Amino acid sequence: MRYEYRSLLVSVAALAATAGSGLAIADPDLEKHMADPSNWAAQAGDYANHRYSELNQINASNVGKLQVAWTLSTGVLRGHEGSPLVIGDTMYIHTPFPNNVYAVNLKDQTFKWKYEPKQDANVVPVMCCDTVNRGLAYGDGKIFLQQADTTLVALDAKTGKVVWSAKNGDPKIGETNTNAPHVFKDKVLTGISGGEFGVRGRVIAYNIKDGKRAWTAWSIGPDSDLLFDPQKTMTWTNGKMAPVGKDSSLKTWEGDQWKLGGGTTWGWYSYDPKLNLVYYGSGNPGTWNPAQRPGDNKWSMTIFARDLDTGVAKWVYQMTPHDEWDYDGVNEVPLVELTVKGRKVPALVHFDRNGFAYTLNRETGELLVAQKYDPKVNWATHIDMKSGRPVVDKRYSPGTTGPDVNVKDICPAALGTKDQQPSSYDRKSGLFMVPTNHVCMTYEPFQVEYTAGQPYVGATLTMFPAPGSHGGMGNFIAWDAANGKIVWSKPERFSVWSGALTTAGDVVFYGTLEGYIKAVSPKDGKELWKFKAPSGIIGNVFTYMYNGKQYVGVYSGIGGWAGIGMAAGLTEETAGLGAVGGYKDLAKYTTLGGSLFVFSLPDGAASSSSTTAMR
Amino acid sequence: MKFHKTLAIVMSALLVAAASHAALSQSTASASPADTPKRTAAATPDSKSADSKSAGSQSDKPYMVVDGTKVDQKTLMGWRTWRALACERCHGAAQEGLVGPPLVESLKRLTKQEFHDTIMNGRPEKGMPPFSASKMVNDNWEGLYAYLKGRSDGQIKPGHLYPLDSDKKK
Repeated sequence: MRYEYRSLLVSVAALAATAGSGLAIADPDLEKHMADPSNWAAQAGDYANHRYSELNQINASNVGKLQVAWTLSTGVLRGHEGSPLVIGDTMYIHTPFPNNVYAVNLKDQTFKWKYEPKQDANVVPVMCCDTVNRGLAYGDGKIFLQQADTTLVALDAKTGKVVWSAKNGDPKIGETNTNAPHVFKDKVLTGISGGEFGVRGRVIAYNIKDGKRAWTAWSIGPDSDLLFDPQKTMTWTNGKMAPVGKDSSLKTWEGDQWKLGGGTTWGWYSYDPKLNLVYYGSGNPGTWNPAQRPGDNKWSMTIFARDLDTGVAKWVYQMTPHDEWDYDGVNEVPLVELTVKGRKVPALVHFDRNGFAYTLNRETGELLVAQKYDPKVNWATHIDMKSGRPVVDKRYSPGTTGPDVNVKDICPAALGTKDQQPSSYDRKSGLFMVPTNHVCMTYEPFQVEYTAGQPYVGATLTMFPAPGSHGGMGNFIAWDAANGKIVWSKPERFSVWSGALTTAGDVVFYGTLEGYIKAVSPKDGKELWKFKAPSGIIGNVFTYMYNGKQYVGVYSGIGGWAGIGMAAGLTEETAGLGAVGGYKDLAKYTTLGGSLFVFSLPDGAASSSSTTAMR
Repeated sequence: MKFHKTLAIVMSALLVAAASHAALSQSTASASPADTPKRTAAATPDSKSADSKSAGSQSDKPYMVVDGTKVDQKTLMGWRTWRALACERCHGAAQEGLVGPPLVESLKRLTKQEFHDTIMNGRPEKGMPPFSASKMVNDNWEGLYAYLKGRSDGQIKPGHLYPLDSDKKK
């Protein structure tokens, strides 16, 4: 009730404001720039998280001729996730901690301005073990940087001067940030990291103009914190949508454990302007030892659909109730129009860490499809479509065996069949191009006590390539989200920890941990081109056009969870712990780095080849 | 409810920790007598003959180990502390080093005092957090030192450890 009233007030106020100022609520600046494929104006290129470009100068017939156009050192040797942004003649580059921002003039690759924040070095240990940052956001003439120390900064895109800044957490209690901020309409949204420090997750929306907090929506806690309306916030229940009811989160926790409940929000968000809904997922529940938190632990591991203006949740769907494996639900939520079982639906698709790919009606929250996108997934036999819950195989359930028991051969590993590395939607074929992990684990939970600012993990695990498969630790796959089927699968030696990009030139790009950037055909995964960068690639591929020429770029700089675990060069002795084969190998291929690579076709190749393509 | 209980434990532990921390800093080189079983105590009469032999050769070590995986109570608590504080996230599951340095090497150089100071004060500039706020670390840092010394000496195997009297084979 309370929220109904409040949202009513907000909408009335918003209407009044619109009428009064005559200015659109939408951010015409960002939307104009996103509509022009010459730019790469948002981390995913658009609100819907397609990671698709209409540019086709570089295409299947000439991509083999791609060569380095220019490179740039970021000056930081850590994991480089995310990608730069391109607006007009300027590229905006970010780095891992200390989170420097560079505005690069595309004319001559000189720096227009640099922003080098001063951050307390004490934030680094809390981010243990890698200090990644997933990139910048643009809107309203500003560049938004979400610093590791939880400060959100708005910079003037022309000068790099700070317009406003806001603090959304406290590193002293383990709160940090790795996520990119997201600009939707008149707001900039950000989240929080710290799922391994007993942090309680939330999404915070700031007014883009002045940095004033518009709303805060927690993942876990009382209804007032969740911005839930117990009667109107819906979830999939017994084959249909039903209200979540009162205290839907608190009821699923014992005592005050919810205060350390996790459900952090460090992933990629998407936005549907027509429905005015924001979509994102929450992370693991606090402590990896399930014995310490009986119950479903709502709303960790959940997709939220929230009204952008008020933050009030329209619907929620929990993928992994009572997590026993660290299968965070934070992965991207691309929005697409699909025909499922003969019915056209406004859909969202979500490749969860838990190894299932979900297709839901994004307007209503109805569950449509849930299938494994790696056949090796074994922790659950299937998703029961009526309840929407996974049917857990007790052999792979550390919550069933209890603390201090080492559960073996669980697939996927904690880093999931896919982690944050975002997929790409091929608008032509309607298929998703998905970078995946092919890694399994042993998992041994144990009792932990909470100390503010100290790790609150509670499980030891080891990871290894999926047994009985091709021996590699990754696949790059094409996924049919309407039918829940793998169309093709290309094995990779290591986890594919780089975000994919599909273009209208019938090419899909991605990077590998060894340091290759590859172009393959979205039709069958056939390799068309590759280039070896100096350090492993965990960044996302992006494209833009400048002066009539198309460019493709990516960061090279290994790190992140995969890089940390795999670049270690484990010794023979640890082979007994399950860290065998491929893990050791990565050190043979790559070492730390920090650079940007930009590729283009040699002069003349574009025009001649595009005629070839037309023939 | 559970949280309140935990909180109470943590708070009382902090008091104890503060007291014992003061005591420890006065006599860092030797184990505090209250919480440390005598080394020889671990070589119980029911130990197998091979065990007592290996135990004897380790008499100058801060740990007791049999078969590489069975250790004295203090060392066992040290390993549990290693595990609870998620040290492997930076130093590697086998202390081989990841973002943090390889402790199998570091423990060959660090004195016990230096080890104590590093773990309590951290090395924030290098990414090592201070652990002085942790009850478990305050209670068990000497056991942790013993465990890592055993790893560094090659006497203790990586992975799960068990009590000396455990019949667990591996």
